Amino acid sequence: MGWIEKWTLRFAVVALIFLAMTGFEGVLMRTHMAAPQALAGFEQTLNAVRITDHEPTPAELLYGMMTVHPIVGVYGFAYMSVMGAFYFLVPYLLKKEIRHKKLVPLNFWLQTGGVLLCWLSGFFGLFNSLYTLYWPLPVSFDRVPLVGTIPFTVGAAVIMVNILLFSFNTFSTVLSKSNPQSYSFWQFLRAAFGISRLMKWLGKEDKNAPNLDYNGLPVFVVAVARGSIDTVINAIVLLTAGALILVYGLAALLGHPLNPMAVDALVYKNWFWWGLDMVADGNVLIYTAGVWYLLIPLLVGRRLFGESVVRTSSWWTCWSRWASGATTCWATRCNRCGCGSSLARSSPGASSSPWG
Amino acid sequence: MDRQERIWLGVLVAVFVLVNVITLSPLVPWQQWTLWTHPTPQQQVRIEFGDYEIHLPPGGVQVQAGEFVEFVAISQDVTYGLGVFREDGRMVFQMQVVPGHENRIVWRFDQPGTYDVRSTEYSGPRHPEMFVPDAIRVTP
Repeated sequence: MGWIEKWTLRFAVVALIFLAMTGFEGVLMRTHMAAPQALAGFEQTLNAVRITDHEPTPAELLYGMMTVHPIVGVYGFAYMSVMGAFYFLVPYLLKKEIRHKKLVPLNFWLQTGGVLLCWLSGFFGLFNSLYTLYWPLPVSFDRVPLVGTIPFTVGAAVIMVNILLFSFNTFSTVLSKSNPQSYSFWQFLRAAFGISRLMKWLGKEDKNAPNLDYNGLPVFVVAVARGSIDTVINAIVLLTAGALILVYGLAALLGHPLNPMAVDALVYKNWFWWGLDMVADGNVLIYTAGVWYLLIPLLVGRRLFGESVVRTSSWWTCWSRWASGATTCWATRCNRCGCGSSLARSSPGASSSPWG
Repeated sequence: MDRQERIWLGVLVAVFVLVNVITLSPLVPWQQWTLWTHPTPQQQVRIEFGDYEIHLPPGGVQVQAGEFVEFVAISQDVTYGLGVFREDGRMVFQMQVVPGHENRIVWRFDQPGTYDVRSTEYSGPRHPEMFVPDAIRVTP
């Protein structure tokens, strides 16, 4: 077994451990909701090591677990699975080596450490802001304990920085000029955003430029490129939100609390949710789809049906996220200046649909 | 792209267009007045949220079925949710109540009866306490 195969398996094993952890936590939460007293003895034992200034209420325990449950599931299981798989598949498909080999073990340990820190801050520190992190709840320290907030934001920051390092390594590997299958940064970016295809539709195709978007890169690599754009945006947005919460937490710790209302809750929400939803597209949807688009033709021994449609739809998904982000920002601005109609203007931060 | 692939792409585009047209059309009751008819509300109801409590206007909320009501919700501290529910627990509508803003929604109740109000956005460990039974009375 080669070096990268071993690391891929390590990522896979730890990812599965995190999956088991999140599953176990799911069972605990359901038990809590069905019969809170059933776990009284178990919780009493855990309370002996919990760093809280009071006996936690059943609700605090439940919401603490609920907050870190998706963090462990998404960043522990899903991301670690993706990291392990991509570190094997990308070099294998492009017939080249990982560009920065030292980053592979670093990614492994930072991701594991960051997820564990987040989990500890929820399970033992009772950080209970939920993954929604609606401002100013995460800095309302009468509701969310400071002792859980600071390690949670540090853990989240470690995870986000690590994701940026992973994306950088993936991009570097694809772009490295170690063999003829090399692409320039702009070619890769054009493929990621579907620029070549757009220009072709507009009748402005550059016949001399390599149309990597639809006849050069394997579908899987296009998916990696497009998914990585969303993943990087997600990491940057969550990193900024985490840093903001950390600043408020440290200020409170030092006895100089800051005014939460200094940050506009609506602007924060639109910024945060635009970035948060990138997990769904970049990681869950596009990465997963890319892997299956790779595996299914290999398994059935035929070419991928509708490969062109696949490339178009992933392009579509990528740009629809940008369009929704721009629309949200415009809507926020519009609502703030009050230039909408009397009814539509009505809802800064409000939803007139039953789905929220 | 061969013929079958073109047909499949056409199906995807048709589904995309159809779903968007239907969900934004007047066929959806709340889209009818939010996007298309823009009626002037006959009544305005202000609801304040703060410290895990929902403060309704003194005397409660009484509205007439079929009339348009504008709900204005304000939060004094964190983000809450204004959720209105039927007696059997089914949701009528909800909106987020973001602090620092006046959060508005226009609604028309079709059925007379009493409706509960519940915060539909997590606001801390005491969030489940934020429930006001029979908060809105809709008369025929």
